[in-house]
Amino acid sequence: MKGGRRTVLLADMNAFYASIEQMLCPDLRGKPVIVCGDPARRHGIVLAASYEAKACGVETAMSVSQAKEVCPSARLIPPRMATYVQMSVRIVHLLKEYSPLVEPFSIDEAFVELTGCETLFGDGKTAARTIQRRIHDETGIHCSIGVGPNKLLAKMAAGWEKPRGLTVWTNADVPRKLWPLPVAKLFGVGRRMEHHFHRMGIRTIGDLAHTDPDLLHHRFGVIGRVLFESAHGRDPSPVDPCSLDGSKSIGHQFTLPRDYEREPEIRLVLRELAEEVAGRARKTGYTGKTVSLTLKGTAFDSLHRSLTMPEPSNIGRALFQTAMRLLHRHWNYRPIRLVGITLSNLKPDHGTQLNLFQPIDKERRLADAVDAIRDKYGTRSIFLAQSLSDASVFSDRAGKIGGHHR
Amino acid sequence: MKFRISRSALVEAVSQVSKAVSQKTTVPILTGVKASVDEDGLWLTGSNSDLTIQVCVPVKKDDKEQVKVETIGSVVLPGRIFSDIVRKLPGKSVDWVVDEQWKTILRSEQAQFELKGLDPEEYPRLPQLREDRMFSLPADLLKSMIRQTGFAVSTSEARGVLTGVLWQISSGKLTFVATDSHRLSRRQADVEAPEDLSVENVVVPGKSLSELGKILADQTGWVDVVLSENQVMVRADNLLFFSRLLDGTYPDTNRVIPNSGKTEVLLNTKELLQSVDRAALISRDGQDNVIKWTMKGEDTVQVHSASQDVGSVLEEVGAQVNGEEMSISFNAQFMLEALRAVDSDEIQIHFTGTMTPFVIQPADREDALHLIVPIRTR
Repeated sequence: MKGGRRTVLLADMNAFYASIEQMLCPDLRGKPVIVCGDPARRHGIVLAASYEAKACGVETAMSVSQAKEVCPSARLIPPRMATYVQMSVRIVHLLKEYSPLVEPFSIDEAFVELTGCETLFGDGKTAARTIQRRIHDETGIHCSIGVGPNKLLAKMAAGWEKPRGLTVWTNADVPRKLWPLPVAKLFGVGRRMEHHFHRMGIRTIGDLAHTDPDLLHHRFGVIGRVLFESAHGRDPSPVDPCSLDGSKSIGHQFTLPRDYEREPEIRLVLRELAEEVAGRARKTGYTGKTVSLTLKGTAFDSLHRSLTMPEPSNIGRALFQTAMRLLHRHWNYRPIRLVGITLSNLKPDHGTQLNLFQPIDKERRLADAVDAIRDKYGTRSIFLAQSLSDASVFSDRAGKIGGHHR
Repeated sequence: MKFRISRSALVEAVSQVSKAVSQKTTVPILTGVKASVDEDGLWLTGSNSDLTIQVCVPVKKDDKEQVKVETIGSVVLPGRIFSDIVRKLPGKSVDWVVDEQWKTILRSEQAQFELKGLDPEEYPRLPQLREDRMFSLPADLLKSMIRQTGFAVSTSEARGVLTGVLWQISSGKLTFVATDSHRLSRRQADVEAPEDLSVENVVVPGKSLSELGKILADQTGWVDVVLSENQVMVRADNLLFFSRLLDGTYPDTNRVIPNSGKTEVLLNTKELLQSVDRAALISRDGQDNVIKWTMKGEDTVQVHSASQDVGSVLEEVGAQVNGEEMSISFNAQFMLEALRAVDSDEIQIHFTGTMTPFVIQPADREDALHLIVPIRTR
């Protein structure tokens, strides 16, 4: 890399889902649009809001009822995930014309390593302008672009001006622009970390940059040191086109159509989620050792606990039984609003050590047969008989992407 | 309490009881070693929640005086520092004096240590076992039975009884079984036991047995074994060993051991061990340690292993093959450990299918077997 100086770009699609809807349906243009779940099934949070809706005060992840209150004229649209995924892939494809190193960071963001491409496309700002225009011309979507000497500053710059922003930051901008921001705005600082920082008297990113790194290391381990570096605008991580290939965990969570209070109901949902997680692990060729259970109560109290199994598995029953042990150990018998199961500690599934006392081979052959039937005839073609009962969420989940309609 | 003792005999005895001295301080007195001297010699005791070891340094051994007793008595000394001191004392003998306050003086040539001792009445008493369920066997046999089965226990605490070795006795035959549910080892032997003694579900922790194997290393004579509801005691010359037993019912393993095979293979143990050892150079790099065997024709076993990042290995081992041609994948480490436990020159392997367990047995005897459950490959 030339002289160690890099040019990294982050393209952030503005109000992605809502923009796609407005682009596909001309009479939505210029009007407040909210893409959201179905309030009747209590999936009623705002997934994306157009800028017209945001102007009225609608925010992502707000409840639909709240959103309707602040913006009564908004059009509510159910999500079409397959369309959004398709669009995301198209945009990544387009970005790859500018550099081989493109890292899709989420469905609506991607990093591009432009280092060394200056003679082809001009400096960062020029290249960013070209890319921004092309994305709009070819897809109809507006994006904000941040350019910086590393991923962190590119990401922070992209958030500086929205929508349709184009912000170029260098290391010299760090004290003036980065440091006055509240510490929660720093990439990697979540709610809990923010809370810890506030208790230490750290309120802005600048405060963090002037904290003793050894103290941060002592209190938060490696993360403390990484965040200290981030506060100084330093980030050595490369743009990694494969970052999404080796996923670290596979999980699903689900907001229940009503509060579940009885164990048999929760049991059934856990079974169905475990089968779904196991199926996805098998499909991607992974097996995992650690099962985590997430429960959220009606008062938004939440619980997240995990347990490591003696053997890695990608069989629904094993994950389900581990989740049940967690449930018995930690559930306080209050009504539950959301359940989730995650399988982590993943490794490639080269083979399964069979067991003297458990019919692992039979279970695996059964799972493979079910997978083959579902591949050919669809997810709904074969399922557990208990999924016909009232508490089941199976039919609700089958045929969705990320828990939302295709 | 006052006596003189040979330092080398003391060092040996202390190192044996130290294996049982508790490292945790939940019961503080158990972090100590109890020492009692009487007309027979010096008795040392170490104990933790799982096992208790008591060793005697007799007054005389092979006509050589080891302990010279002036006044008898007992004391408890802090285990770790006591054993370190004894190892580093300069002389050939140690003079040992304890006063009424348990203050202990250890003197050897120019060095003199003063240690704060504890009241021996606070130290738990040895369990008293009724000796109605008892049998005897040569120490060597017990050692080899431990060596040939102990490696197969599960090392994961969560597996309960599978972390121990099952002991069974019927009609004078002692059986050891150990399994972690991926492989199983079984060894049987005739022992001196009352004809009507029948033992079905005694499970001894694998860790206790590996300590027992170590402290029996120099024993040559016979040992007595006494079983109670929740303890086992092993008594050898100048040695008492107690271990707690594991709670729970051991799974029925007779059910899972196949009686006959579809394919039978006869091989030279040493050649096979070397071949698997070579294949393991590649397989151990992968996470499952998988190697694949293919039985070909009447005289060949093909050994293959491949690792995505490293490369692969292929070799053929001469064998006498009877039955169907077949391929099977399994964990090379299990095979290595089983083969190392076999003392015979030739072994026989019975395969029952690609997805079912196979059995390794010494060709010249029926009292030992090792079973390995295969890996289902994608």
